Amino acid sequence: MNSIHNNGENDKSLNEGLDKLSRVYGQLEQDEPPELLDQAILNSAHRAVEKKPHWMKFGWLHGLTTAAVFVLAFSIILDQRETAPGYEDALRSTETAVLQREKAAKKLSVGESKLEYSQQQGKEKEDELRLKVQQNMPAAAAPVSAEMESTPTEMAEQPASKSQRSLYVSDDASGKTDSDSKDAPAREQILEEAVMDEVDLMTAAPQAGAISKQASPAVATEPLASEVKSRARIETEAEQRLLAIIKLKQDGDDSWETELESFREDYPDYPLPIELTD
Amino acid sequence: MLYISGMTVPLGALPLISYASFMQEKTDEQLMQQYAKGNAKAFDLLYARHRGALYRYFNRQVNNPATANDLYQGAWEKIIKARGKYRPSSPFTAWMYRIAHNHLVDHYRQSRPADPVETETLSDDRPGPAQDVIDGEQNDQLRAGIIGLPEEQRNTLLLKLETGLKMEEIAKVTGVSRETVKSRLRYAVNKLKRSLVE
Repeated sequence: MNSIHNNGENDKSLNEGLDKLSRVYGQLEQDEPPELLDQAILNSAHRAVEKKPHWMKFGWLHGLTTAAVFVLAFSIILDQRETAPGYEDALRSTETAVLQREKAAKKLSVGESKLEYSQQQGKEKEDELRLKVQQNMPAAAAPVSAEMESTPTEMAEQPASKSQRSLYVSDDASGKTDSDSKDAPAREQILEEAVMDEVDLMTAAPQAGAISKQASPAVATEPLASEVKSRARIETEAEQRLLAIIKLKQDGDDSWETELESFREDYPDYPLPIELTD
Repeated sequence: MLYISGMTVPLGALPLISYASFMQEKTDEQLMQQYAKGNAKAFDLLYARHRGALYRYFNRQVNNPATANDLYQGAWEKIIKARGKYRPSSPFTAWMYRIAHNHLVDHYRQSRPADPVETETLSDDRPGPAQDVIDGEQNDQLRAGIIGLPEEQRNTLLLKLETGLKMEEIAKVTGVSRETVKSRLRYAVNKLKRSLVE
């Protein structure tokens, strides 16, 4: 009981002492923290709860993404640099193909000009021959010959017989002065070379196909040229046969009549010279 | 314009005033919870309420403004960091002063690592510096008397005088029993009484 009583007394005296002390303590100067310190603490508190942007929360991810993009870009550049030589080779081959094509086209044009020149030469020789025949032919035959010249297509359309063909071949084989017989192999050779070049280029570079298509019209002129050539051959052949028949007649060979009949069968519309009409 | 408590207030400021008054009515525990959720304004109010007491608690413990400033700032930094750990079941003041007390103990340990923690028995007989201070004014005598108290007594007394915490709460803050707190307070009060009478 005494201890409890003492504790109660002690608590009472303690409380009284604390109350008195509190009053005196309250009279003490109220110290305050410096304003700068206040501001620093408040700033720190505000910074601590500031909401950061979403991407800043994953700063490491942002860095990783940037690095990955750089690595990817670098690898793509390296990969392109590795494949570039093949591409350069292809380009080089294409350029070569174009050059070859241009060369072939030039060659073809030269061939064509050669052909034209040879045809011109042949025509001159033919004119000479025709003039020679006309000198021996009556004047009435001249318009017929002119008419024949004016319609060479009709003449060309006529089918050549076996004898004509054989005569033509024999003429070529005997090496007579026929301009076409000389020019034709050269022209064919040129055309062949051009076609071979074309085939080579097509296999070498597919890109050159467009250019080959541009060059092909020059080759397409071949049928027309051959038609003109065959027509000239027929005319020359007829003239030669007539000359031969006249020679037989002048030599007093009787076989000229059978030859003339054969000629008329082959060339029914061809006008005869005055030597043979008598 | 409105005339409120002797002040002319623009109408646009009314929402701010009403918000501030709404926040002022909130308890420390509610404000701390709001700050933990990211409301910086709640911390401003909380800081305004406790800044003086906490500063004096440190300043009268160490009697050195520079050290007091460091301790004060450090204690607030710890409070800011520990905002997520705060539970409203315990009073905010007790929680805050527990952090401050631990911070102060850390400071004592760092400044005097070799010295053992003083015991009440030793400190009872040890004369304080207040006895050497002869000052005519009561406040100075009291200030000197507080400075002259042993650390534990001074700490316990300042917690009581500055915060008004109950003995049980002071016991929780300092980590001792309620009886120890009472004993420390009794010794401290008796010493200060003597110094004030002298």
